[in-house]
Amino acid sequence: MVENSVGAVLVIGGGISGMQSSLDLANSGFKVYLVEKASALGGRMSQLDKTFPTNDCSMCILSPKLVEVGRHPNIELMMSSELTNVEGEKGGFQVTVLKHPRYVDDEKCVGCGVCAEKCPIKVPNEFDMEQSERKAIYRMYPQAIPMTFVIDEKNCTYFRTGKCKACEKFCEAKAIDFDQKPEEITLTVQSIILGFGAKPYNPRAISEYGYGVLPNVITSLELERMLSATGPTMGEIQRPSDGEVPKRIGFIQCVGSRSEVYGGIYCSSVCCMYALKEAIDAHDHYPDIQSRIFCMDMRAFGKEFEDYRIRAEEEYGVGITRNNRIASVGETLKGDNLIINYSEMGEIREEIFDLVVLSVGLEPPENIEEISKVLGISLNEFDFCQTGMFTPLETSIPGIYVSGMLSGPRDIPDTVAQASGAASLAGTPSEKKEEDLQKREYPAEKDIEGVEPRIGVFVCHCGINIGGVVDVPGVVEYAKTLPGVVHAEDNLYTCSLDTQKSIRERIEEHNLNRVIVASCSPRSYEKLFQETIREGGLNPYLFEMANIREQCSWVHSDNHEEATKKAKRLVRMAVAKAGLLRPLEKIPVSVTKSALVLGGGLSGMVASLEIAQKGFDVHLVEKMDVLGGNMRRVTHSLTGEDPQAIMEEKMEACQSNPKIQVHLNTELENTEGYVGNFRSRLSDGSEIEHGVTIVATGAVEYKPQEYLYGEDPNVITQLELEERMSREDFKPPQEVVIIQCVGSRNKEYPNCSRICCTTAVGNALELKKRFPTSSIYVIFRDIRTYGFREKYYKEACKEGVIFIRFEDDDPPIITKGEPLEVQVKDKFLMEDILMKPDLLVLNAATRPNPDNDGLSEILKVPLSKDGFFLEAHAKLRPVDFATDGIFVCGLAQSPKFVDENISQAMAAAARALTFLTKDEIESEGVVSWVNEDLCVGCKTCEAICPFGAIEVDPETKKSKVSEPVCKGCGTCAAGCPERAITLRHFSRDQIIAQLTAAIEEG
Amino acid sequence: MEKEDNGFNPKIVGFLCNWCSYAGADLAGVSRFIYPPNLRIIRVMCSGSVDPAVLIEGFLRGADGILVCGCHPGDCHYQDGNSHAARRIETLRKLIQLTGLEPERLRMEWVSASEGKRFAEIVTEFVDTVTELGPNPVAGDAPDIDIMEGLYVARSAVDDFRLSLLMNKEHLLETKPNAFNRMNPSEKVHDVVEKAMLDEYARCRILLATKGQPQSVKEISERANLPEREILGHIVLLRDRGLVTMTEIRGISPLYLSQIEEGQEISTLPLWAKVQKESIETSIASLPDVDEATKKWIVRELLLTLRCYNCERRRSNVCHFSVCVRGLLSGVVE
Repeated sequence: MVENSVGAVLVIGGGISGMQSSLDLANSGFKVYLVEKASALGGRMSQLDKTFPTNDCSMCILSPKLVEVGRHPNIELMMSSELTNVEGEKGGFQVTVLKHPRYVDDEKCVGCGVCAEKCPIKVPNEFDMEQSERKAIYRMYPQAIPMTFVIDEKNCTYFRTGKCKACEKFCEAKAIDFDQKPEEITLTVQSIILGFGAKPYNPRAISEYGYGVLPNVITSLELERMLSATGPTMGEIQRPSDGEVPKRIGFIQCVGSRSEVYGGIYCSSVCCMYALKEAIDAHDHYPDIQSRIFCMDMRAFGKEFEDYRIRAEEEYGVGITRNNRIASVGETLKGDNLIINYSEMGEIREEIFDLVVLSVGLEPPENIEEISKVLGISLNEFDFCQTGMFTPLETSIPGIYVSGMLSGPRDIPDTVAQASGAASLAGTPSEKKEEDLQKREYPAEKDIEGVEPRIGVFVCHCGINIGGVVDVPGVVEYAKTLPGVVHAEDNLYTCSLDTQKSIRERIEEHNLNRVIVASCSPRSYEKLFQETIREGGLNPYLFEMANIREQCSWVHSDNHEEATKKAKRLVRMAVAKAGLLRPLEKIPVSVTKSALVLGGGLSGMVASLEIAQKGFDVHLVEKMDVLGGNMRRVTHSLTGEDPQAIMEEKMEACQSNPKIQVHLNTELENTEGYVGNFRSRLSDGSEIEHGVTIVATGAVEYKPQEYLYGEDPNVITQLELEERMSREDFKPPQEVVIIQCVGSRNKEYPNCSRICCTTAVGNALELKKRFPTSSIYVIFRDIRTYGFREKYYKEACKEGVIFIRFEDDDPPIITKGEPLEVQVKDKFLMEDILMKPDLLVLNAATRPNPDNDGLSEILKVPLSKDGFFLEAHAKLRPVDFATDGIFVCGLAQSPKFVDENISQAMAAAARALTFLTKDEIESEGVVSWVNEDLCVGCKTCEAICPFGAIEVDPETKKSKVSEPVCKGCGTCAAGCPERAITLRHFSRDQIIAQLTAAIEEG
Repeated sequence: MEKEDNGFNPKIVGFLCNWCSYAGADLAGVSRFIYPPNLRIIRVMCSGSVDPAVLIEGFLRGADGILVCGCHPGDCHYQDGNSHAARRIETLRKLIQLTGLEPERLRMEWVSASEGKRFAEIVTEFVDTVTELGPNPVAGDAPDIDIMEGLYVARSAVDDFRLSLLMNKEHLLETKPNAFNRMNPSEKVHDVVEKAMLDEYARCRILLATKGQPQSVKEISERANLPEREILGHIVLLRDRGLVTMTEIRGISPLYLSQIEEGQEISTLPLWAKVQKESIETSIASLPDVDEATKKWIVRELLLTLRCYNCERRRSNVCHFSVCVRGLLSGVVE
């Protein structure tokens, strides 16, 4: 490591992974350079319509992140850029980034889109998977950040012929700049995070499926774009041949996955789930659509995925046909329907579909070889980035970390967890990191107490975007007549730098104490203008916006008179509210710089070590008399690494680290307080103060009630098998039967335990290796060896392990005796199979820790239906709770593998560090406020608040808002039976003032 | 085009949540989907922050239609604010129906950040619906006094303690076990809320009808548009709370007068919980030194003499809290 290392970190890839890493780093006080090849952030996720298993709208959950990254003072975006050279080592990399010209000035472009309207060149739109067209000057998608347009040099007439420049002519903002040149930028950074993703497999190579030949064979991403409301068909499913809505959709799984011929032999992990999602989504759009999914196994292995699968089948009538790798797709003689032949119940059947969707797998990105050469990192056998089981986020080069799809196919929550984890590893505290950070100095805030409102109104023309429809000078004149308005003016572009300056001057000149800007959506520029008036000496909350572009001129361009009327009305509403605006304070609270980690298993230890390594104290609490948790029972790993040795090493590291105080035989008894300031009492009598809490309490192995477990000594669980195998006196078995899904995926406990298939494969391989003559049977329902684990499944098949599928309603029958008899019906062969094993291994479910109930009450955090801890958001906040400052990782969240547990533990540490690295955390200005005179302590607010931000004080019997925790949604204010609660900035009188102004004549 | 129908130009107010629906409306703009300019958008952080009383206020002030838009179920930026909004608005629509105003004038829709087109369609369709319904009967120069009174009363009813409390704890009653550790059937919870709504509305109407001038039950029935047989029960309760007095007996009919003064908000349970709590606190404070257990016993006995503000029976040892979640509904009982 280089002395005097620099603070900045380079993140490559502007998808969800890169964005999450950047935000976590920037929020922990690091400068981040975010390099993205495309012209906008968002990556693959921005193309999705919905996300499984919650069917959340992808853009709804992504766009707040886009805005946050786009505006973060410590994240420097480098769009249309690529990495060309890397030198140096951990702590001091010199990297060269080539920034391609955009030909549109970021500072000037207002994102109005006139240029694209006027551009004569149409090219296929990659964002819509070439199902629509875009212009040569374009924006990737409507909500893109940055919103600046970009010229596609390859297709632009001016660049090809030297003539045209239509965009330049029509751009009112004078933002087009044909003279921009590629720029080479050299940066010095302490570490690099590789957060770019994989690419979808191109099924053209599989000629049997007819993609590109048969018009009605499309890829899953094409369907995804069709389903999206912003897609090429505005959310309508139209089959390419005739634009008709299909009635029957067939999904073919594993296109480019699990294949030795096409694509990779690994499983792409996400396709089964996205096929289910698209089938449900299609059904939601058109209730009479019937979908059938043809797969080898249905791999719904994640948290609550199995529930989703059941819902798809039972509520939406999605058919799932297993055991099928479809050989080919044919076309019917008449029309353009498609025929698929498949096997079921031992016979070959034929079914006709209107549309066939190929669930394409994931491949390493195109330029992976180049990039790996530039960076010097090693790739694995599948050309993804090489990582280890115990180092899932580290590449072969120290200081270069990896997250997301680059190290293997994975879904969004796993990617986000990895991104946070990589952020933690990449951000080493350094002396110099402060230098890079943006610091702003502000003048003192004007005291407006008791002063009559003096409102300034700035109405924007936005070139012709508003001015071309709305009579802007007329609106200005009207504004001047409104009560409290002492100044009104129009600007060509209110967001331009010179107008910002003039707003500050006007505040001075007219002694304004409220400012209104009538222009575009507050969602894009409110923060900017708030900043401006703050620089002008006003509290940022004395600002209001009237949205006369997105919600007026752009949607009423057909009626200029009415649009002008509406613009006046919007300004009147803003003025009415502005008169009642109050300055708000962001209340800082200090942070106790230590963490409480509950659970001393692998996840808990990894999280503790990571936090301690960054210099913060950790209290590690373990219920048992020894660290290690479930990991103590895992004796071998598929990749050959020794789990016990690594566990010993972590235990040793925890015990010897002076920053970590280990509390063995201890449980949490009580905790109170809020983020930054928790106080907890432990059962060993100690009272500790901590800023954050991490829940890593693990899970337990289910004790089977079925298959003679406990009655016959030869019936054992998977973990017991591992323990027996590690003993010297293990008797070589002749025949072993492993039964999968014992206690998983049944009525009582519908979800999948994720890890059992791979453990079964691993143990079967281990047994075969040690006792080559033994017969090994695995009785399963779906083999879910996702990702690269598929390799071991293939290997086990080759080694002669026999896999027999049973149906949910036809479980194997065990008969007592010496030896035991196992009878199972194979639905593929339609035959009963009888086995006489001398060892029957039950692959028991991973069940939630029975302590979860109590713990969830103490911490006031929720559990999911099946009893695991429920994170704040299934996709984008996998290790957070809705309550700030409390995090979850490892088996406590859901069953998962060692590497995934480590990634999550790192992520929980990273998220915790975003609080611990701050001396103070600031509350939002927009928070609830309780009028204690009215409060009767009825606890309704407590029941409504999802964040635990409001509580009735047991002493005073009055509600109390803890400002740092309050997110300002205002649900409590609307629900308070005594109207004692007000949401600041959106108070009842402010809303009623707006309402009254809205209804007024004119 | 602003929709014109005999010169009627409906005034529609839209409450849009910042994260999904407001973004959806912005997207309609970015994508240039034209919709009628009748909509007046008010941005709120969450649809869950929209106060039911403010919505009625909107109608009282002359809005022809009100549209509340939030994130789709499950998508709420604040976990479940939208589901609170949906529940409140469902009750509110029933309440509005009682006043004689068409409940179709109030609508709740889910609009995501990518549904610009849907947003434009919803607005267009809603403007059409409201245009067809015609102008808000309480707006303009000749307002319908009956409906206006109804709305005024409805606003008081949703603002009142009991209905608001039940409406906002409905989800708890449905999802948490009751005092007997059993789950409350959701229809039953629903009925309780609905009954509370009908009761509170009736009581507020009675208070308004008897304001300023003593009235007989028959007169109240006519003025408040309520069946006679229901009125006496409410009057007994309101008399109990000191909100109505009997002034005289005309012939054989007693006359009742509301104690609500001019300019005072109508409330059937003015700071009731506070009164309960204060009376308990004063009683305890005036006691000589007793131990905790005795205090608890006294509190319990005192509570028995007060009415439960859920079932409105006097609490007794045989009180069947069949839907009540002890301690959840009442901040006082612990």
